[in-house]
Amino acid sequence: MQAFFDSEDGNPKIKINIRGDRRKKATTVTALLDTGHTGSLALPVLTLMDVGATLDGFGPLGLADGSQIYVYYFRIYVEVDGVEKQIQASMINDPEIREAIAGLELLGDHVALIDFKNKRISLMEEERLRKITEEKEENNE
Amino acid sequence: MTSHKLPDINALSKIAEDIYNNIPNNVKEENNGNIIAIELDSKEYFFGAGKDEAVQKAKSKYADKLVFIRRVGNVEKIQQLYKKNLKYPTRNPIAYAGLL
Repeated sequence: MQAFFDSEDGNPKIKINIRGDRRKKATTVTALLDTGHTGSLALPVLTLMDVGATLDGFGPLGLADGSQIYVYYFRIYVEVDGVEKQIQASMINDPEIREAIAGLELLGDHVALIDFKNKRISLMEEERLRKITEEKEENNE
Repeated sequence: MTSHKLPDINALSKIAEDIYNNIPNNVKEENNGNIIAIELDSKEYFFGAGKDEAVQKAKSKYADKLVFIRRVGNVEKIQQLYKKNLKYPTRNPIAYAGLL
């Protein structure tokens, strides 16, 4: 999982490998890193069709403006730090939207360090960050 | 996806919300903040700490059925609790700067 600032629009993004369970085909998607999105991953309908995702369910989703909509959830597999895990990705209903959105649930085990000034992002597991920070603090003492 | 025609989400959601509203309050209180996955035909429900856990439990019994997925309880209250209990991995956030 690679995190970066997109030079074209200036937004923080991550690259994730995903696949469906109906096809072997895996693909890499670039997703907008949205800290206001409490779900795991929202994918455009064309991406879901392309990877062969299975429709598992549906449910309510709160939007940033306070409104609520119902969305479909598809079963997909994502690779996070070399480990593949199954998640429920919501479908982005608008066919005009081609960009995926990564939310807090997908990165729940990670800490994001965002350097807006120098346009750099680092994502790492909390445990790894804790170890590095403790080592740094010990070296400074 | 085997078909391009998706089920009517608004009609299904109304049925699903009715089933959810009829679940006893004590069951909801015990699982406040968790995710519930409801299989609509049987009205059987499954809980999990996250969406994926709840759905996997439901799918292990109802592999080919659609499930309704939502968080149990008042979402705004849950978000407030989450913010209140946020924990940071170090006492010294400035130490992060050197990691970038």
